[in-house]
Amino acid sequence: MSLVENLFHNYGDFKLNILRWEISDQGVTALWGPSGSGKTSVFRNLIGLDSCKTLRWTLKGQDLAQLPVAKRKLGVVFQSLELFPHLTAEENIQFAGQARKLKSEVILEKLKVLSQQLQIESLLKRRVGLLSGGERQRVAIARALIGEPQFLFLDEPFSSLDQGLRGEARFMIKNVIQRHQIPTLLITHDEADLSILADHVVRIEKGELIK
Amino acid sequence: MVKSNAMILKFRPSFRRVLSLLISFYLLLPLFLLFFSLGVPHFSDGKRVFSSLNHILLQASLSTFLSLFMGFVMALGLFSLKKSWLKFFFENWILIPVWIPSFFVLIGVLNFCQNLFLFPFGMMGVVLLHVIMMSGLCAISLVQIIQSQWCGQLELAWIEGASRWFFFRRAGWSQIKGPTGTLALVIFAMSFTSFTIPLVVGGVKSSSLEVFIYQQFHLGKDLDQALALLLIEIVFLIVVSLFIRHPIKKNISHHFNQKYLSWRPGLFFVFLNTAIVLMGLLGVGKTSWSQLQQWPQLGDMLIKGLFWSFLIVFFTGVFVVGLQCLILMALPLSGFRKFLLGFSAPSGVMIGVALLVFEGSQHWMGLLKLIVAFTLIMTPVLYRWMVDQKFHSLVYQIEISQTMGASWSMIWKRIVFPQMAVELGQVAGVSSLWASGDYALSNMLLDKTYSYTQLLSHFMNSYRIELATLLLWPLLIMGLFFYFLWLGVGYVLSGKSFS
Repeated sequence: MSLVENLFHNYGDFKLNILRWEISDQGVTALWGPSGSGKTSVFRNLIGLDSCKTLRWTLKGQDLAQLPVAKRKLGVVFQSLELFPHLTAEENIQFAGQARKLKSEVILEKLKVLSQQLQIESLLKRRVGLLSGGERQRVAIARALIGEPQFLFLDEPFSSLDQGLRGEARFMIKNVIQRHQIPTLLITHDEADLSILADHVVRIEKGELIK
Repeated sequence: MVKSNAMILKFRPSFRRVLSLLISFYLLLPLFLLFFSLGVPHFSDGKRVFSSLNHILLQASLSTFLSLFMGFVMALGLFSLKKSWLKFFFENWILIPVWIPSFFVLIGVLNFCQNLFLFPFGMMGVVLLHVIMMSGLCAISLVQIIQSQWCGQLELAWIEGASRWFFFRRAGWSQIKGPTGTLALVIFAMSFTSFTIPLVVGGVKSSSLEVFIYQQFHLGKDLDQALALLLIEIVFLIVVSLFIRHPIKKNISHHFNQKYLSWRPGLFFVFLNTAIVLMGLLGVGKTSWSQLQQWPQLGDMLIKGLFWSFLIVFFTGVFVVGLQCLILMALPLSGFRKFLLGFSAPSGVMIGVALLVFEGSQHWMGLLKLIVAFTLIMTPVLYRWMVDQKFHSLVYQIEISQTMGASWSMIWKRIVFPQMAVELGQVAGVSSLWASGDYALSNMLLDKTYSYTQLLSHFMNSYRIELATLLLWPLLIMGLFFYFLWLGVGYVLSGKSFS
């Protein structure tokens, strides 16, 4: 179990107010709520992109909130994916491994495994600008996983896909997360994501968790 | 262990903060120098100040009104163009006088006018040159304003049978008056504080605030009065920047039938404006060659001048782009970004006067001061114009790189620089091109024998304008060469990831 405490953030017109929240360190926890409920703000505060001085986030005996962003060892997939457009799919994935200072042979090995699992072997040499939405999403997942994160964040990961591709993508991601056994926080407003992916569901409204 | 790691990594954001503070201090340096090294500001000759300010206000008002009027006529001409390639060509064509350094425009127009036996000096000369330089900018801005504010309503008015004048009076003007007022204020500020043009053709009576300050400082040696005028200029620029808060909306994608607005004769002025400058620059006849032969000792001076101009042009590009790189390394700090977006650089004269505090205007010291002056003037405007928007689009990529654990230098080398190289190349190119045509700052900061443009100004002062036009070409070619060179370097480096 990881424990989030005192997540208070005043954005002016909106407040986050989470006193205590236990997030399972196994499987996928979904943070579910309507647009504007504060899902992405929670996500940004936990990652460390928005600073919250009162926040404590204890995972495996370590307070992650006290660490700088780079040292939290998180894997992140943004809603907009944010792949590096000037690099190939392979370079995008390798970048994350190099950022974590993994040995090059480890990176190559992991790249091979992940590209098989996510079925992107044939795409690796292509620039990401030439990939379709679904392909780009799989590259983003591989990039988030290659650095051996201790926690994975997925922010509305299927929102940029059309309806037909979403079902297939959900099963593929569920499969990969189960294989890698990384605790995951899924941010979503889509109920279909909950039924397929989520092991635990937490609802958020107006910046507060609903029990 | 955890704590020590955190402390080491927290060094990076504070390093960025220190860097941003140092850059901010550097950009504000001229203002600090002025107010800590000069005397107490006061007007020693109030009557002259009042009369000069009246003269300057009249010049700036006339320049603004006529530029906007010509711009409106040219905008109507642009609306009559149906083919997109023609529109693209003419939109770039009318911006040539804005794009190239004002010294080149000045020589081109003077040479053109001389062939017609006209000598546009004094206030009318300044106004004419300002109108030629700025009406293209006005035209493009007015086209954007009209397209963004009127498009759907205009078609509706057309269908309902309203005349253009009726629509303009009853509905159109109220919608465009805000952005048009902003545009007018920008043009007024540019005319009010213009330097090179009024310095060369303005005559004895100061035609711009910048020239007036320059005269007080450089010729009259009245430092207190110069400082008082600088204060007026600073207050004026602050007030103007407060009014220019809401930007002119960008061109929107909605297409509308422009026939209702088009006025073909406007195309003549679209063509004529830039043609005057280019015909003037190309109008080099036998006279100029024979004048050149009368100066056998000129060769050495020109080669020396060209060498110094080469150094100025090259190092300005290098220094300006170097400072932009430092700015990008310090970003994204929201406070620093706000400062860069809101900060308007002190004028050329302010910077020139401030740097005169440091003694020495010969050789390398003069060159260094000139290059520092260019970086101070060009950095904020080029950041806003060419760098900010692209860099801002990379912020999420930087954030996600941080979450992956990427170091500051890795993010810079592999994410930021490869994607900003084209913009940085453009920044270097434009700054080199602008530096190639500098006359006013060189005149203040360099010993008179160094800069090539100063040599040209000697010929202009003795009315050998054709000779000056002929001798201008090596400089123009050098400026354009560096512009395209830096642009090419930017394109070659773009997308290359440095591991």
